Amino acid sequence: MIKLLKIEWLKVKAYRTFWILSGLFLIAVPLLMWAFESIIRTSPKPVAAFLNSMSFPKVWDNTAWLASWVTPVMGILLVIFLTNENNFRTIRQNIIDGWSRDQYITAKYGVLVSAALFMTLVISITALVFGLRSGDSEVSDGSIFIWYTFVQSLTYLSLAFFLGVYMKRAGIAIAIYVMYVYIGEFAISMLLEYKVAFHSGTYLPLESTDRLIGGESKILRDIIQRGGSGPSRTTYIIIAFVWIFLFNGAAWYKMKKADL
Amino acid sequence: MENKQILSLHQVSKHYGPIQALKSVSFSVPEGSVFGVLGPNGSGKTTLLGIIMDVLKANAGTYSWFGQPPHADQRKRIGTLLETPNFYHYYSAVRNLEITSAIKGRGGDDIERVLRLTELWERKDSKFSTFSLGMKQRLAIANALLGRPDVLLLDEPTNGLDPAGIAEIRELIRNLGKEGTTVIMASHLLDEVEKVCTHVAILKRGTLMAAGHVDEVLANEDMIELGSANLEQLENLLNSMPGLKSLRRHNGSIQVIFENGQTAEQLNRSCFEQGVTLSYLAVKRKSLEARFIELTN
Repeated sequence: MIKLLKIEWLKVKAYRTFWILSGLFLIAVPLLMWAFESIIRTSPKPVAAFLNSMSFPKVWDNTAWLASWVTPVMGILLVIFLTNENNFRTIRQNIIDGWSRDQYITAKYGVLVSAALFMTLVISITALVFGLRSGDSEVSDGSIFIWYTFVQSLTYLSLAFFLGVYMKRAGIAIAIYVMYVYIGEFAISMLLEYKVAFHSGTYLPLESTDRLIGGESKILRDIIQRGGSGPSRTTYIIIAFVWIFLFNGAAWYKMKKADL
Repeated sequence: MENKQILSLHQVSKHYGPIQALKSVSFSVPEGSVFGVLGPNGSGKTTLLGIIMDVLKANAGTYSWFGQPPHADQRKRIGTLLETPNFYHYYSAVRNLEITSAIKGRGGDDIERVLRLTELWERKDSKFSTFSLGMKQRLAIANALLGRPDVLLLDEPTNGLDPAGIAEIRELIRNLGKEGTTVIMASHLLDEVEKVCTHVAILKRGTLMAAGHVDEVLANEDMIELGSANLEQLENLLNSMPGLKSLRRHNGSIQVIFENGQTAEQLNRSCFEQGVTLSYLAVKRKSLEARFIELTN
């Protein structure tokens, strides 16, 4: 696995797009958090005290929640990375040069998990720094959110992985990804919630982890409070993993069986 | 030297929807041969090579490399150029070859040699996307030569090259063949195959028309040209001989093809014994082109 990842690293280490998009994510997460902190600090004291957004455990939740707005940047990077292999026909060349299809797929899964770990690391360090700045609670409180963050990153990336494998063209795949992540799923989940059954939107791939890490958006759902409290966190995680396996399983099937 | 088979195909078939690209193709490539896979455009050459490199899946049939069932590690011993040069556009020649070396499990110590051999050393740090068509093709050949593979598999290797480049690549293939490298080469250029190959397989719309040593594929079809003071008498005599496949008059002589492998010496003796003295006798090996047109039309 390490050997395969080293080769994947060779493919990106001097690729400008890789550094720009990773850099964007790296900067955007603390920047968003800084902006959020500024809003909280300048809001009326009772509101700030009620929200208690910047202290542990809530700072874990809020950082991960805000970061999910820029998580698609890493998804886009993954789409580009995968569609490049199709467009340059280097997927063919890698196999021709001596990789088995399983090795190729394993290498790509390695990239997927590495990216999710990188995102988790960036978000966790940001949460840690901002939580410590507020300085009035125990660091370990709510650190389970590091795990939730990893699950969320993996879900967003798995959707990108699926699109990157099935769509030949980067432009179309990115457009579908961005539209779905920012608009599509929100619209579908709201229709499900208010036309079918409250909480049924939970079963959508990204919505499950969006609700796992609700951040301050939870307040809104708590106010509406229809159909009682939602599913448990364990349920959200199970739903997320079902989607992760579906997306990656479908991608595996395509790469294993298709003519390249 | 030629008793070992490097590659064997058994009843390989492939279809794309309703289009049958390969129909039960079977043949073997002996070790040390320069093996040409010849066929017009769309005859299934690239499909065939794609299947034996595991980038395309056959619908039926099997193949083996080095006498073993197919396995990814075997491909590390095969230098391949399939259809188009496939490289990371944003990377230089050297970086691209580093990736290939890593996949093949070798160090990068052979990169300079292959880039010099294909005259790309001066442009080693240029991005692949800035290369001309010919340079891209050269890089693909350099990639195939990396690590001195036991087998070279080249699909239309002279595509996009200028005449000097074509001659160089032919020379390179011939030399590698002499050094013992087995070369499998697909081409629609008869001239190319005829000049460098020891063996040939001819494909037509997915069907194997002939396969074997170039001499075998062509030998039993040698044409003999004869002349005599009395052409009428000669023609009558030839027409009465068993095994005659075709006869035609051509510029004051007669051209014949026998199915039974009749040699010029036997023919000369028979004519003399029948009282016809030959004034001219020549064996004309049928060109690959004539054979190819005959087989594929």
